[in-house]
Amino acid sequence: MVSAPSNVADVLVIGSGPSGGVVSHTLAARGLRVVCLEQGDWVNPTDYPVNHLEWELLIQKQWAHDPNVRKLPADYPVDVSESDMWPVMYNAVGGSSLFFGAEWPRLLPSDFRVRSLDGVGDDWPITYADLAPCYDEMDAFIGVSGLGGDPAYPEGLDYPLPPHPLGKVGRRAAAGMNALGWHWWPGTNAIPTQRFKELSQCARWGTCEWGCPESSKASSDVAFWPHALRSGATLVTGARVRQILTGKDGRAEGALWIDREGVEHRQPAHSVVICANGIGTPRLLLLSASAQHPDGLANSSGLVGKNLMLHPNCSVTGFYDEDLESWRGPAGQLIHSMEFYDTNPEHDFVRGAKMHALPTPGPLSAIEVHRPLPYDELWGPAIHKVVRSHAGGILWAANSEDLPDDANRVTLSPGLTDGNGIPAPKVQYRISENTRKILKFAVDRMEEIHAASGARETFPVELWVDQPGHLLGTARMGDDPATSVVDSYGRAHDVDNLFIADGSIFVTSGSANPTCTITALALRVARNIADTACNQKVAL
Amino acid sequence: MSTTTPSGRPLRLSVPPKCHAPRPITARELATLRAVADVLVPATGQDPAATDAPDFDIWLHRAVDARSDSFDLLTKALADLDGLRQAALDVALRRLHAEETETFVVLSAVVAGAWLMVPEVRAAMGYPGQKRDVPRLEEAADQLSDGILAPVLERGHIYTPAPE
Repeated sequence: MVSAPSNVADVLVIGSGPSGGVVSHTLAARGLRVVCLEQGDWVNPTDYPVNHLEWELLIQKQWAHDPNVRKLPADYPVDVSESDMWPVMYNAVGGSSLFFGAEWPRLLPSDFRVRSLDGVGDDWPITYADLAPCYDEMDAFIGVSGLGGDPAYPEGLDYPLPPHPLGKVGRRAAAGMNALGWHWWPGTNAIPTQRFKELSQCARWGTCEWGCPESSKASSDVAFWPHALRSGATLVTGARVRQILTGKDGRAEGALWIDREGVEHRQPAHSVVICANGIGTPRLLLLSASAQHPDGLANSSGLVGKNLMLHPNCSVTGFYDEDLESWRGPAGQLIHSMEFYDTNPEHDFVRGAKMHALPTPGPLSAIEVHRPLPYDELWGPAIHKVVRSHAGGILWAANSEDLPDDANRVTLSPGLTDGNGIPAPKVQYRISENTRKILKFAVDRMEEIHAASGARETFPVELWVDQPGHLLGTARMGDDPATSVVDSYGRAHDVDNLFIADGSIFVTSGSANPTCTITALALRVARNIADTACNQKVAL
Repeated sequence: MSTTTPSGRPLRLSVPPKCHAPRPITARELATLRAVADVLVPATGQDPAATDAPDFDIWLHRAVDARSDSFDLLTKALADLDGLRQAALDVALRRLHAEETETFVVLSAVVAGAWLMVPEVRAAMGYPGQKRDVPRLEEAADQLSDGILAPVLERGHIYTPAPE
């Protein structure tokens, strides 16, 4: 059953994560009638697992990062039958930022010119300098905590709030880096060190990646949505979009969505902005095929869903003899390193990895890290020593830069559907030889860091199969409609009132955690929509 | 999609329901879990066994609830291990560890998870739990003021300039 059309939105935003929050706030504040459809609902700070003594057990399944494990009503399954990794996401107001670590590094200038510098991938249609004002504005809006003057970035980069304490974990990690002569810097995090707007001062709970019970992490639900709602945006929760509607002229006319009762609705709009992440966005575009767009919406290039990039992660957890208070947050990066970020002719691969050091909260987590050991080294009498190691852990982890490859892609699953019978996304992703070399290299370097820092034992993981939450590249931006899906302002080449503002529009992935760049791009997209509103038939 | 839970509460789309095992574990199952705990977390010269921890059974019940997603797997394992004496139980657990990883992971997580929730155990191992722990105002500055960043600063800028 289709309900009667509600009022026409000037801008329909699909998804309420970081990009949806930024777009909704920015456009509502400019006077546009914004309606955002979110398939999940609100999560309260008191809901998060760390409020309970069982938190380490609860995160194993109930609050898992992987929607295929968690299986909440808001989740949709992801077909990973042909993928080397299992992408993760969260479906709620705030999207996956509810579970992000809030590490907030910008891309580097080189990231926008990978083809020119290294002869691989593609250049972006914009530069670091183009995006820098949006980066600055988002940092100021959120209250990013960090130390200015990082020599890995162009001069002048600074942050509105001071950095977090390094803590014993950060200082020990930094000492190892100094011994090796490698770059490190106090971690930049979207976690305020002082109370900032709706965000509380960080109280170092240490469970940033399973929700902040203090509301002191800039997840979209607290960093953007209070401002968007006060500016007049309408947020509809429990609204699963199944199709973007287009007219005979091929332009977007709104969306069909299904409420939690299973009733279908039509939301008409003058323009549509998709903010559904690098997997949800191409899924929706492909679901929205029509007579005017037979291969999927905005897909005349054939690139919708292609070039999926996931930042394959690796790590080495080290345990040290002394008490490093590793239960203490934030986590959040305590320090980061760009030492091996760019291409180095001495390496047998191109591009590189960003590395970061974090604490390792929780004694059960320490047991889980030790599981690769033989039975007698973990269980029985050995267990007591293992659990005592919990306070002496340092996690070094790395995002590797995976280059765009059109064989890595999102399509519609032929057999898997969500709770509403809508085809699930199918992820086909294979790790390239270049990426495998980066992962191996990064693990070896992190082992060296632990050795230089005095670790007693280490546990390398060369690939976090179930970790990638950085979902990038599946509707890339570019100037040429034949080789890109959207222009540099996120406007679809094929549909002039359809925009994409999430990680899908990345051209290359860099290896910096992407949410900082996603929000900067979303701000740039939203500003341009407002500035060109008359072209979308939007009445200001 | 139903909009309420079986108990009639509004369905929350993005939050898992409170965890409860489908039924309480039986006395025999509890006894088997305790026996498993005595093998996996035994007493040593200086450390007490998990089963010596105060109110351990209460914490076992909470751990079973927290992993109610795997209740069938867990109770099947407990049925298979029921009645085994310690030596035979040790052999059986080693076999599970080697051959039935998923079962062993759940079983050991429940036992260890219960043990690690006991306040006295946490205190003994120096784990304060995750809690509010606001830093001192000057803490970050103090930790950077001893020259720890000097080597990085002395090296200067390292970024790769990019063409416009």
